Amino acid sequence: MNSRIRRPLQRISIFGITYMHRRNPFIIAWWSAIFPGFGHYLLNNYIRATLLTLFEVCINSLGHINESIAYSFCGKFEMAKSVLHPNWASGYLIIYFFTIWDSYRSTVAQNKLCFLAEMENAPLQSFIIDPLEIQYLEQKNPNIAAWYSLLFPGLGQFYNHRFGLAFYTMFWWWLYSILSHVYQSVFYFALGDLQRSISILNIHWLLFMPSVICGATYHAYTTAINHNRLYRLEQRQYLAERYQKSDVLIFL
Amino acid sequence: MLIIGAFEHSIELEEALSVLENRGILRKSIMVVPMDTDSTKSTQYISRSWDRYNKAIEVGMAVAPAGAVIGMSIGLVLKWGPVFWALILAFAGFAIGLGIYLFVNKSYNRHLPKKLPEVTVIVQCSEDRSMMVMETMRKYHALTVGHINEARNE
Repeated sequence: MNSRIRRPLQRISIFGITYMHRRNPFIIAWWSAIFPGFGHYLLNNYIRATLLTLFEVCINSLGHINESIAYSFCGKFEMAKSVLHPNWASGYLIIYFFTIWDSYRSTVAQNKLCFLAEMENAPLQSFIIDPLEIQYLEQKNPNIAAWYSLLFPGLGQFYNHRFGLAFYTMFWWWLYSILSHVYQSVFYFALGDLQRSISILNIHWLLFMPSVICGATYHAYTTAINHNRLYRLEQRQYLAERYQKSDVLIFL
Repeated sequence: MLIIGAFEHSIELEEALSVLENRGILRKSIMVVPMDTDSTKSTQYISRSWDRYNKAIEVGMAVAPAGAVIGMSIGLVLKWGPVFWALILAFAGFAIGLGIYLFVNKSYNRHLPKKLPEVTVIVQCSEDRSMMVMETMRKYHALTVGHINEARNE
């Protein structure tokens, strides 16, 4: 019957569940603007998204982009200009806007492919067992996923069985929190030492943190919802196939 | 006898069906009907009652980081410092995004209960097995179970 599947909607590998999903291209472009690479994570393009996030952190640090953003919002435009490293900033901007455009374009293309995949309705995978891992479709609670990524970015991804991204995110969150001294700052704030709680902060590393924590929370939340959707689709396919030859007569 | 059970999509539904088959209910005596809340094809969208709130929360989460970055920046010159202002504006951004989405989409057609009968299972069996079938359905989280005696129609 199904000699060849042209476009599967989803695939399970040891790294987790990779899937197609129709999305609003503006939302994806917006996440790319918040942190280059986040839009691509939401599109399940994990390798290019990871490379983009590495690029973002490296070039931002070399060009002092974050400090410049912070001073601009404070109205200290002279400081914003002087801190910026023009060699890095111009190239950074081009790649930044390219990333936004590319994630928008990819979403539009993936939406069309996703529609075709849904129409093709190829059997979904629900379970794999591998020498090193077991991965399966499972119903998830999106609120729990979001809550854990809010507590510590990466844990929501772990809950969704996306362990590669989970440990990558956890690694960066450790690094950001140590380099920015954010937890020390909260500690001094709680003790009432306002002066010290502000002076200890490193604004460059601190400014990465809101984007990362919100992005991780959003990713965990939508991924959990999509796993539920795939779970339900797969179960319907299975039930329809297994019980198609029913002899039950409701009206005798 | 006809035993009718309403289930949510769940692993328990498959457990119930496996147990029934294992206890000798023939596969051809089981009928499974996927249920939908609207007329789109069941393989495409399966809408749930909290879809609208999910979208609103997603919009709120998208607005929050913008608020946080602005709050963190202006916090450099304000009294309480960057961390505190980032948190305040992140929550404010979340609430604004959520509120605007719910306000714009308030004309959503109907209010659905949180638990929906998504799959109906109909089992045809002899009267002496009906208790076992009903108990199995209830044990594996059927929302409601009903039965009808076919003989009365003959």
